[in-house]
Amino acid sequence: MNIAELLRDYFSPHEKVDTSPRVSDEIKFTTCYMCACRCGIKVHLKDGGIRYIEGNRDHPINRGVICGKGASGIMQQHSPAKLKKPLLRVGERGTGEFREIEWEEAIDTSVAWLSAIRREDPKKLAFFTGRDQSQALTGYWAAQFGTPNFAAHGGFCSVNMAAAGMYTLGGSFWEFGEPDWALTRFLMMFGVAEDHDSNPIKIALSGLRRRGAKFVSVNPVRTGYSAIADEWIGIRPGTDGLFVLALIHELLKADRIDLEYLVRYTNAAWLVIQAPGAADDGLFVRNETGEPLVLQPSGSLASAMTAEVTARLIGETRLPDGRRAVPVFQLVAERYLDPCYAPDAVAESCGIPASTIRRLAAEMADAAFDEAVEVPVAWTDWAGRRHQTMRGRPVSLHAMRGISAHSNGFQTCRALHLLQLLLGTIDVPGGWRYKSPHPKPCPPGPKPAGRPDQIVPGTPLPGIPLGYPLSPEDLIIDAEGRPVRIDKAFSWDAPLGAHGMMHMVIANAWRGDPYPINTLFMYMANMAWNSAMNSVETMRMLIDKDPSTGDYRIPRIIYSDAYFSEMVAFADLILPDTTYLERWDCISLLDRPIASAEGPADAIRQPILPPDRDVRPFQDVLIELGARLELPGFVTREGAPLYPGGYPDYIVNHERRPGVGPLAGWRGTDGEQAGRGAPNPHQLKRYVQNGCFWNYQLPEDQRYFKHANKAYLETAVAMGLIGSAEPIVLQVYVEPLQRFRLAALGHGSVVAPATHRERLATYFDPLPFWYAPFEEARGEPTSFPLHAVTQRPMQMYHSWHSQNEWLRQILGNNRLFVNRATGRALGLAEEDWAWLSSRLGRIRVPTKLVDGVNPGTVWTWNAVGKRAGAWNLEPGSPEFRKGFLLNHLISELLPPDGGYEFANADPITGQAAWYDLRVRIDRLAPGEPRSVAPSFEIIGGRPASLDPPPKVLRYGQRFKTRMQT
Amino acid sequence: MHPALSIVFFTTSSGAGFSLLALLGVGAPLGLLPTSASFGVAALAVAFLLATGGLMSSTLHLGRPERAWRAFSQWRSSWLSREGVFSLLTFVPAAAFGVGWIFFGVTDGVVGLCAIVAAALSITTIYCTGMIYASLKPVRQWHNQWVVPNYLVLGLMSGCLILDFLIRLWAERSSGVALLSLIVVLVSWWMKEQYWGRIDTTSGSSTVASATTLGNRGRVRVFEAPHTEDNYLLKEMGYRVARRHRTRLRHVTRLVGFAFPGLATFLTLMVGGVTGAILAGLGVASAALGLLVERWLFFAEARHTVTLYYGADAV
Repeated sequence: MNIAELLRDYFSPHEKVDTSPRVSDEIKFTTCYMCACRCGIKVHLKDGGIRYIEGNRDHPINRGVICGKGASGIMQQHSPAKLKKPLLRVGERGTGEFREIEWEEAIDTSVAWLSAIRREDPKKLAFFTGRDQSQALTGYWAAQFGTPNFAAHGGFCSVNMAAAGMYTLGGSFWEFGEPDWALTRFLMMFGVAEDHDSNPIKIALSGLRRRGAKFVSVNPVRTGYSAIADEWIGIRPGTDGLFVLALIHELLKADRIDLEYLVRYTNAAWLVIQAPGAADDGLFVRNETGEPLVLQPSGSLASAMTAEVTARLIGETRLPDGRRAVPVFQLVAERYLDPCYAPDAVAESCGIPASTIRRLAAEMADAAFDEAVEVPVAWTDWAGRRHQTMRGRPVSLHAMRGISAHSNGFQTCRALHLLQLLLGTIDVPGGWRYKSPHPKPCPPGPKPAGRPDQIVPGTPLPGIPLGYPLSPEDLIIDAEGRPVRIDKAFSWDAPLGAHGMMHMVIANAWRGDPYPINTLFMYMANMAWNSAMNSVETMRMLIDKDPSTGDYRIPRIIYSDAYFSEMVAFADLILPDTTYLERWDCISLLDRPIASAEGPADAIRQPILPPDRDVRPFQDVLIELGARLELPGFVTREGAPLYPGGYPDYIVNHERRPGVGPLAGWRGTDGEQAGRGAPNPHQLKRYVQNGCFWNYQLPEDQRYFKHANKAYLETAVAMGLIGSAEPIVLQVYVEPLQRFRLAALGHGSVVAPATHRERLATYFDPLPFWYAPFEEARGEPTSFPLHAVTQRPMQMYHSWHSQNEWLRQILGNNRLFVNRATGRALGLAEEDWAWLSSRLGRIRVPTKLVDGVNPGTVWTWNAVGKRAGAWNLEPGSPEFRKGFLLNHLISELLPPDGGYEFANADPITGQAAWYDLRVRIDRLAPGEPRSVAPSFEIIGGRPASLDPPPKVLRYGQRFKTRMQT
Repeated sequence: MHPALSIVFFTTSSGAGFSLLALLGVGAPLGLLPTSASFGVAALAVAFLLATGGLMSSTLHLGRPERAWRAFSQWRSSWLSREGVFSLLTFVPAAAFGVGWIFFGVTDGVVGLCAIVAAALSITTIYCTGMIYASLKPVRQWHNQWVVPNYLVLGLMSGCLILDFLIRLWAERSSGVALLSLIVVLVSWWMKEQYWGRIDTTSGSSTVASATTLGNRGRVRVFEAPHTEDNYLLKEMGYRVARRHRTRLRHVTRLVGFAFPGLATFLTLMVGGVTGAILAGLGVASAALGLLVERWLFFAEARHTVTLYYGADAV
């Protein structure tokens, strides 16, 4: 700097400020991974670094909107906790002491471990992936390996909703369906937290509010969504089903039911055999070809699949063999008109005044029947009948984990769907719509693979380990009726465990129940901390050794993660993953796509930056392991790797069925085919050119009534979304449930064991009903009078985000939120400390009194508390000192029932019952310290290549200095 | 508000310097001060050092001190800018006054006029300093009528005490200035008590309800602060001093800042010579310490309305 410049700095009165600096050298499009919503993002790059991230305005999911965590992806990339090299454990488990190894050694070690298992007994490998967005690949890999022990995190997230929806509608809330945001007049939303899918919901809710449609939020906590709702219903946790059945009671009583819709699109008119004690009691009356029958006004029976039949919804008939049969609807009316479902009968239990329930039912009916909407588009139904318009009842429901994470969640979700069906609001204008590729056939398929006869060493399973059983014959059990899967999904414990039961894997493997495993292989699941029930014991199980052999009870743990999470410290071999900005990915129609009700859509991620450390995308590693293990499907006939180019090679060239692969866009050698077509070598390039997504808009006449819309069904078949263009009949009455119930009564070829009979007979009701969640029913309600629930905030989803430097500034510790009146009665100050106890144990936590929560419920933000030493955070971090987990209080097992310990889960699907937790608050004794308890031993070790946590994580300095001229 | 030490030091030091200059500017033309050049050199040097030292210190907390001069251009809207402008303007007549007094032994006529003008500008500078704080609406503890008088009288107090001490070093009795000092100390004390009384007895008109304009819907409470951990705003504007700590520091101010200097000055009315000078010197030192504590409290007790968003009920 010469004198002139120095002087200019002092005396130039007019500094040149570049008001529109060039912020990036390059903009790359990709897909966000900060929650499972998968918004389109634009990543601005400058000087080889990420300058900033914004939403992609052209993307169908978020239309340019980006949330706090999406924009904070930069700090995910700059995290000091990023693993840098493969690790092999050298110290004891849990200490975090590792030796850094080369990839060659890591792959060789994995192959040595896994090939021995595959040769001897493939089910000794338990392969469980957490928030995996490549389940189409991981499930396929597990099947090719030959182990039934595969699942992702669905079992502790949303399987109740997914299964209830799939068995009822062939679609479900959330991923597989959405409200008709643009046309609905009345939206009732149950138990939706803001961490996931917030951009589409924010956009949709603001549009809905602008139009003046009514929005009711049902949630024990006054969430952000509840705050902008017309009405917040602060329901008592676990009673949503009761509330909804009371709404149904009111609608039936007022005769506000869409009978035409029921007859035309559902099985409400199908005849059900009424022969208590018989082997076919409660099953549908069918003709010789297996078609269900309905009762005509003339009294004669006809096939329900005949288009022009007129069916009666009420009326009893005698079958030729003399037995009684009644239409499904008659059973519905008889059950729900019972006074036990009257608003007055349920008000106290739900914590909602009876008058409010009555009013909401009336408002719902008014919206459905007095404000019916009509879209002036002609369409043809499955039977070839032409309709001049699309007429709909504009009432919609939306639901998420508040419904799902209870032990009565399946039947509660069924109750919600029944309400939708009675109002005729499934896939109609203004109602609730299927997201492509749904609807799927209902009852659903395929069935799970992994029965004992299907597990052969060195041989793939004949199908994917996850699926939908339709009868006891489809269960994955051995000849004695014992579970075959390590998580006991698809056993008598959880017959419809369609997403597996990841929450039970560690506990079962530790006990050797149903059998000991050899290797636990996990991806992206923090099972030693915030993803585990009974986290304290889980950590102990992971380090527990068999005294007779001195070996760990779970002998080997392979784990893949991008960050130094709590789970890393408990694994033996670590395969470090890349961040989402460093790899190829596909968000596939075979898995959970980004599709909407307007048509199929899928997306990819492309590498934005090359990894700056020795890590590899997990999917690449899995494909390489597949090739090295010579799994069919990953090697050619000659034994050479089938996808030498790794995951991108697989994405483009893998075909699940002829012409159907991971990506549906730009298929065919010319890239002009949608849905089905030969692999296109330039497919990824086309995606990148289009902003990394493909969005197919269905023609206007295919956007509603998809379950019965001829043109849509034919399109779906042509695109490979479904197998046949048969209409999908919506299941008011779910016959497969009755088949399990019959097995519990001793009928059929596969009969339930005595320990499970009463349970199956009770809960496998083909019509929805409400029962108290198990912790409430079997626990000690007087000792533990309060409910405790958790949720994640809008700015955090995965436990990764509570180490994100920008996000943890917003939320660095959590407190227990207690209703003000409840807290005052307990003698708590506005901000205080207290003991929180459940039947499992107790924790000392900071508390805060708030107004917006059900009086009998306490809640906190989940996964903010961290274990000291993990995530490469500073030792004094608030996440260690003041953050806490409720997981320590949640048992993975229910109290023994007749000598048998069932999982703390839904009896039908095995969904983890996180929100059944019951607690008590006790004030601290005088002089007790105000600090979080229990506190855990610090994870002392740290991989050598990880730098010590910086005091200040600096980012953007280099961009700043360069901008100065 | 976070009491930045550079600002605490600056306001006390420049207040003392400019008020000493003002006292010299009035006292010299009226012939109330020792006329020796050595006294002039010493007294003016102390005044200049305190005033400029304070100014220099104030630039220490700037990120780009070389740009400080640009602040002078904003005098139309900024009390900070006006303070800078007046402090520099003061030095022009003050320099003429100093040269005339020290080199030519003249303290009347044009030199005397310069002295009077310098005195007026000095007082104006202190007034501007006070207005920097008094003009800030979001800070209740600053936006009130006692702040500017406090700045003026506290500055005058320190100036008087220093002047009295300096006069005694030239071995003359100075009961006039000592008496003035005693009066000013008592007035200062009274004013400070008025100020404290005022901020203790009034409550903030800004509440979280008014800040969010949601008050018409019921009682507004902050569910969660924008940040759970400290951030820049909280460290700078949400600085909190414990009530017990605050009470103790106020007592320190009373004792060290007012009572002891007042007592010392009272005693000097009766004893002169070396004892008187020592007493006066102790008075100055004690007052300096007391005023630093007072000024630290002035910042520490102030709460910005931004804290409403972090859970404060009213500010």
